[in-house]
Amino acid sequence: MSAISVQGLTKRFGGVLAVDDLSFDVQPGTITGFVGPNGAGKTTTLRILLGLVRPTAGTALVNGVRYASLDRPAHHVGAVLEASGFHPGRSARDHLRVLALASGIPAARVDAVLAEVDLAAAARRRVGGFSLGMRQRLGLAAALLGDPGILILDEPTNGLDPAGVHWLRTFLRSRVDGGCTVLVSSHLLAELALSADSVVIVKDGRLVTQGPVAELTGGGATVRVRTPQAEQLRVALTARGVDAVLDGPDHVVARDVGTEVVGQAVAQAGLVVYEMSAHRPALEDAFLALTGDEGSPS
Amino acid sequence: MTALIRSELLRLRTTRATWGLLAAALVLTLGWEAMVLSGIGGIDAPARGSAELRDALLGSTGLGMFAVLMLGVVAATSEFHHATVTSTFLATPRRGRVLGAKAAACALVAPPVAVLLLVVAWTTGVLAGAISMTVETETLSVVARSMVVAACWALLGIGVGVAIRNQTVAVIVPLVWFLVIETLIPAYGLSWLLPWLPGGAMTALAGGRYPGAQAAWVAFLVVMAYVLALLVPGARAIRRRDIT
Repeated sequence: MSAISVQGLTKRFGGVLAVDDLSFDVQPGTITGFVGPNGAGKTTTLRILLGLVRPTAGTALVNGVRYASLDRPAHHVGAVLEASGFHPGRSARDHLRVLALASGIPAARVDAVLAEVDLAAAARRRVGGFSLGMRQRLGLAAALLGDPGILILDEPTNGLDPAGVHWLRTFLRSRVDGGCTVLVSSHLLAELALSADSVVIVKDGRLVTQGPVAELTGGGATVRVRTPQAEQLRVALTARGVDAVLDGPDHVVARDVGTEVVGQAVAQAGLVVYEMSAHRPALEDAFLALTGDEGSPS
Repeated sequence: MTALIRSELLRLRTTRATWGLLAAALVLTLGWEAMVLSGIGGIDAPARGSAELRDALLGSTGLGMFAVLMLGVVAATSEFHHATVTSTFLATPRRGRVLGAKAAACALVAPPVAVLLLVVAWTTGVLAGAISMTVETETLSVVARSMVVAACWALLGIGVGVAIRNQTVAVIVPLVWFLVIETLIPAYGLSWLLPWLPGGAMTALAGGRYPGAQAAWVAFLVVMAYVLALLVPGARAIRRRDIT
């Protein structure tokens, strides 16, 4: 059974069709990136999935049931949403204690999740003085209260510094390695390419494509080598069946190949290499190609 | 449901507005009491040690009930004001239960507040030498009645907050209603309407006497009718609302 299943989902806000007959599935134990330009309907879809917004048509199920029909959903699904507020006068710890009580979660768990997101030192400070990054961490702490098997995050990297983004990526990967399923939305694709197993790409409320990241980016990397013996390397690579071309007098570009193969070819031919780098086609490029969106602010 | 109510009680306890309103209730009560005390000996003023003076002093807590009303209003609107409603409804998708727990929490908090205000008012009166230190049966019945009245004010506040949702508007509307509109009713010759209005009914429930005032139980039913008239459509709208 899919951890998350969206079927024929449609949502109309007045005259605006925010989500248009959208269907996709998220397999258990994976990180799935939910990507699309701003205004593609990502937030609306996630909010329908979480029972906050009523769909006009279609269904959105977690673990095969509607979120609203889960008893104490915190134990099944944890969500970090944008624009989910905090009372500025309440401390981080009290914010979590209120939610923990409502979900029947013991108070000890509050301190545990605060430590998990590195907020233990700020636990008794009022949220009003928190930075955006700290609020994101507090939101994540709230999502973890019930130790859920599914995490749903809407643009969680907003407000995080690069170290914070790296921390989040590592954190999500460790959750998934522990058996968790993660659905994370983003309009920034580069940061997702490094962490997601598969992606769901949407535009204008409709599904563009869904699949493993490797499939969308076309598999192999491009290896670029700087060497004074460029022509000899090109010949050596071609002899191994690698698609290699010269790029100027001292560069060779090999396509759809790993650095291991290029390195072995270099060693066997006894060549000198100054520099070698591998480039994976960016998810960003694949995304732009698929959506026909030239990155214009929409 | 018990867990939800405890959660809402904790929410109230960890909000500074709650303590600010409690302080306001004390200040309003003591301020009114100071006026009553300073009037002793004047024309038409109740005499020192009289039952009338005791009732007037204990009646000072009536003004503090506005703070209890506001407690309900703030409890109901704060979640929309601070956008905490998202995490609240994520934890408890059954929104009607959340509203019910809020109403229950406020109705539980209000009676002890009324008792506290009465104790402060009574003690101040005793210390000022205006009333004797003996606790009469009438005093205890005022306490019991005030506890019910306080719970009703809190519920009315919840009703107003749920029906209006916008915190600023929900704070202003009842102030204008009770302090301006209902006070002007007699001036327009509409005094017959008073027993059927929320403020008039609340006064009757608190034991206030005026021409046409209902018996306490009728006044209680009138107040509850207003609470339900506000709460039910308001709750229905919130249950259907898209939280974006």
